[in-house]
Amino acid sequence: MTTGDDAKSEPEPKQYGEPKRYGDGAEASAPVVSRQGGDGVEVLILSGELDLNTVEEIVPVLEAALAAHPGSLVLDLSRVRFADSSALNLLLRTHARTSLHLAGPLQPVVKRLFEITGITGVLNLHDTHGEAIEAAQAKR
Amino acid sequence: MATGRSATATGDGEREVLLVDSLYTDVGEVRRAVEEHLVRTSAWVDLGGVLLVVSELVTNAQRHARGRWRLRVQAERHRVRVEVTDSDPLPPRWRPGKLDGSGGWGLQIARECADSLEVLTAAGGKTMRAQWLHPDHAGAAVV
Repeated sequence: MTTGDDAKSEPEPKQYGEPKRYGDGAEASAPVVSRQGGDGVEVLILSGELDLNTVEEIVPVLEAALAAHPGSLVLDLSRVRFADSSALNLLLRTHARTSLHLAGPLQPVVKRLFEITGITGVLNLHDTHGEAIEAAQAKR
Repeated sequence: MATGRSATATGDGEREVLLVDSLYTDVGEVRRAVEEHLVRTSAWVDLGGVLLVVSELVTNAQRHARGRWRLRVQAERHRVRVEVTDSDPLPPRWRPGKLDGSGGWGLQIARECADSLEVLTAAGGKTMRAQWLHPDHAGAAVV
């Protein structure tokens, strides 16, 4: 359930799925860029594309963060360039468990996902990383 | 080969088809194949919307149809058609998205992003067909 106590270390580069690539334009990047604790708030910076496959890689890191600080969590989505319903479900499940604060600004497809599902009014979305952290600290 | 392309001439100008099957288990790989294909073959289609639809339909097929599916993307001058065929004959459940994160959003997202989304049933499986029409032809029948 946890990834150990390396919360503050630099993220290790890792790849998801099979090493095979389609074409040469493919870039498989780890969906979790970093996990930072401190000041009572856990912050996960996500990046790349969030879908059925990559969400599976986020879950253990997210569980570790929630185990460390159950009361609140910041997910920085500003580097996420694609997200679908698998990501949306993960966000909603996490929202149901803790005081979840999302940091933008969102990239176009992610923004569109939020808008067409009407989820913008349900999740706590903040314009910046700093605002999301402040809100999470206030709700702690 | 997990993907293949074939080009056939039709009365509507050149039509190119991309086929991807479930040897590709990584949804991201599938999206990249579709993106690469459509960048070459369609100047007008809403690529972000297509990629969301592809992601949702392939995810559904992976999760509900024992992972066996086939994706077909056909770009024509005035229409782009995305079809995901799987071996599960049960039609999808059209249910509203659940705010507790337990699902239901995929088809809703696909329906919002495509100009049309329909289910074609056949013996031994079903096909989800999403279509986009060229903006100048949006009033034409989506058939």
